[in-house]
Amino acid sequence: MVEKRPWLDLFCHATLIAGVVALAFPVWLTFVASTLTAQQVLSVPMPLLPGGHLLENYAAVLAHGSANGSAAPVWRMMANSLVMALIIAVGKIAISIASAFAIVYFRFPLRNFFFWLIFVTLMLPVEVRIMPTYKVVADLGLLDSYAGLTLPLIASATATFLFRQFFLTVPDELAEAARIDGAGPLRFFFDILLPLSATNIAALFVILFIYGWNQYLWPLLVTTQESMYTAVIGIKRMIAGGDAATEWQLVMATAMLAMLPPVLVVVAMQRWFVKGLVETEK
Amino acid sequence: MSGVELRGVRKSYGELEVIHGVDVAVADGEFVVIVGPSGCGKSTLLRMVAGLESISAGEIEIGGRVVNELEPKDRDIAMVFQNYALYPHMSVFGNMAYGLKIRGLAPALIQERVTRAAEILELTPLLARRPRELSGGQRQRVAMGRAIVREPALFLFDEPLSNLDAKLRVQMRLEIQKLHHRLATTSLYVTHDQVEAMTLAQRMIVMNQGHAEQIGAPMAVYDAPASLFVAGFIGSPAMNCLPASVAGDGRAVLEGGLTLPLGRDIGKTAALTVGIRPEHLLPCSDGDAAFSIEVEALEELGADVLVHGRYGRHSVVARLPHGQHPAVGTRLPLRFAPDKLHFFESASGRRL
Repeated sequence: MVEKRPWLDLFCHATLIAGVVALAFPVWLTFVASTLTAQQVLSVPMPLLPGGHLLENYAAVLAHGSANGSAAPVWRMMANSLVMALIIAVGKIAISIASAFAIVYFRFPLRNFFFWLIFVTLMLPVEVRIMPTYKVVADLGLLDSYAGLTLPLIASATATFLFRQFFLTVPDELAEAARIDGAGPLRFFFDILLPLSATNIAALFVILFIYGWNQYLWPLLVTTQESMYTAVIGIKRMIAGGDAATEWQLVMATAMLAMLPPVLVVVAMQRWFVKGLVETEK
Repeated sequence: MSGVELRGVRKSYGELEVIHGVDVAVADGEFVVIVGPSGCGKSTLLRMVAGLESISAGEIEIGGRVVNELEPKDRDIAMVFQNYALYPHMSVFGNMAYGLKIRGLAPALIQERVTRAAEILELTPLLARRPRELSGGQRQRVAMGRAIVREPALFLFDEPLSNLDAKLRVQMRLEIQKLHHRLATTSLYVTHDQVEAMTLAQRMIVMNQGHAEQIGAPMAVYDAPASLFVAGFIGSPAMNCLPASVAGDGRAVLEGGLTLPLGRDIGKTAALTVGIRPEHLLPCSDGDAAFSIEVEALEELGADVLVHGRYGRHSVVARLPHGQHPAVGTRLPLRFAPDKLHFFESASGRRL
C-alpha cells in the first residue's frame, strides 16, 4: 500500500514501538538483573540501568553455577543443550526426509496406512505419552544420557508431512529424467531431491533447533545428575529451595546465556529461513 | 542397426485397455512422429518405449534387443520432456553432464561432449547459467543438449515444443529438423499438433483412442487418409465431409441431389461419406459449377482466404487464393476435380 497519511504512519509506528517495548522490556530487565549484585536485585525498586558486575556474574555461572541452587557449571549445561538440540534437529530432519522420500516415491504395500499412521501422531504431543515413554526409556537404562534425552523426541510427523508436501510439488518428470539419466533412487535422492530441499531443510533446522533447545518437561524427567542438566533445566534447578536465598543475578545471567544460541541460529540462518518459507525453486 | 520395432504393444490399467496393439517398425535414422488428439495414448506409447511405463503385452525392440524388462537407463535412449525437466539446482553444463557422470565417463570426455553439444545448440555462452535464468527456448535447447550428449540409439520427444510461443515453436521446429539431419539418430516424436507432425515427420503414426489409425509418410497420409478420423485430423482447416448414399450405377448421391462418380465398384454400402479438402474446391463460373455454397463467413489469412459456407444442412470450407472476396450471403459456385474426392464408409469410417 502506498498511502500518504502522516497520522496513520505515526499511529502505526507508535503501535509497533509499544509492541517492541512490551516484548523487549522483560529481556532488558533480565539483562539488567544479570549485571547487579544479589542485594541490588532484591532492592525495591530494582534498578533499571545495568550495574557493574556483568563479567563477574557471567564468569561465576559459567564456571560453577549457583552455590545455593545447582552448582553445575553453566558451560556444561549449554554444551548439553547444544548436543541435545543438534541431535534432535538433525535427527528429525534425517528421519523425516527419508520417510517422506519413501512415502512419495515408492509404491509399497500399506503405503497409505503408514502415511496416516505418521499423520495421526501429529495429534499426540509428547505430554500425552510421557508416562509410557518414561517407562520405556527408564527400562532401557537411558536415563541421564543423550540418547534418553533425544530419542523419544526425534521422530517428527510435522517435518515428515512438510517434506512430503514439498516432494509432491517436485515435477514427476524430474524423477523420470533422472531415471533415464541412469540415477538410481539413492542417487536421485542425494543429487537432486536433497539440493532442492536445501532451503526447506534450513527453515526446518531453525525451527527444530529452537524446539530442541527449549525442551523443558522431558529433560526435567530424564536428567537427575547435574552433569546432564540442560540450560533450561539448569535455570530451574538454580532457584534454591528451602531457606537458601536464590541468587537471582546468577539465574538471570544463565537465562541470558540460554537465550543466546537460538538467537544466533536465527540470525545466522535468517536469509535461508525466509527463503525456505516463501520460495519454491523448481 | 538402431531401429525400433513395436510388436502388438498393448497397455492396460487394470480392466481398462488404453493401447490396443500397435505394430510399427522404425528404420535406423528415421524420424517418426506420433500424432493424435489428447488422450489417444500417444504419450503412453512413448513412455512405454522409454521404460517409464510397463508394457502390458507385446514386445518393444530397440537396436535389435527386446527391452521390455530393461530399465530406462539400459535402453540406450534419451528423452526430451514437455516441461524440459531440467535439474533446477544445476548449471546448464551440470544438466547436460549429469547423465554422463553417472555413467562414469572420464571428465575430459564429458567436457568434450558437452562442449560440442553446446556448440551445435548455440548454448556455449550459457553453460554456467541456471535453468531459471534461461528463456523457454533456451531451456528447450538445454533439454535437447542433455539428450544429444548421451549419443543414444534413440531420441524420444514428448511434445517438446508445446510450452513455447508460436514464433519460437516454428523456429525450434526447424532446428529439430536440422539437428536430425546432422545427427541422423532414430527419433520418436510425440505431438498433438498436426503441423509439427507434417513438417517434421519422415513417417507419421496417427493415433486415435489407442489405435494406430494410419502409418505413413506425411504426404501419403494427407493425400489418402485411411479413415474419416485421419481425414478430419490431418490438414487445417479439416477436410469437408458430406454424407452420401450409393446409387445403383456406381455413383454416390449427396443429400442435395448432386451425383458423383465413384470411379470403381464399391459393392453394397448403405451410407458413405464424401470428403474433399478445402483447397480442392475451386471457384468458377455458374456454368462450370458442380455445386454452390451459401457464403456465411470469411477468414482472411493473408496468402489465402477461407470461405465458410453452407451446402444444404452441412457446412463447407473452401480455401480461395488471395484477392478473392465473395460477399457474405451470396452464392459461391464451386467445382472440383473428381480425383480429389475421398470416399469413406460412414459406419466404420474406413476409406473405400
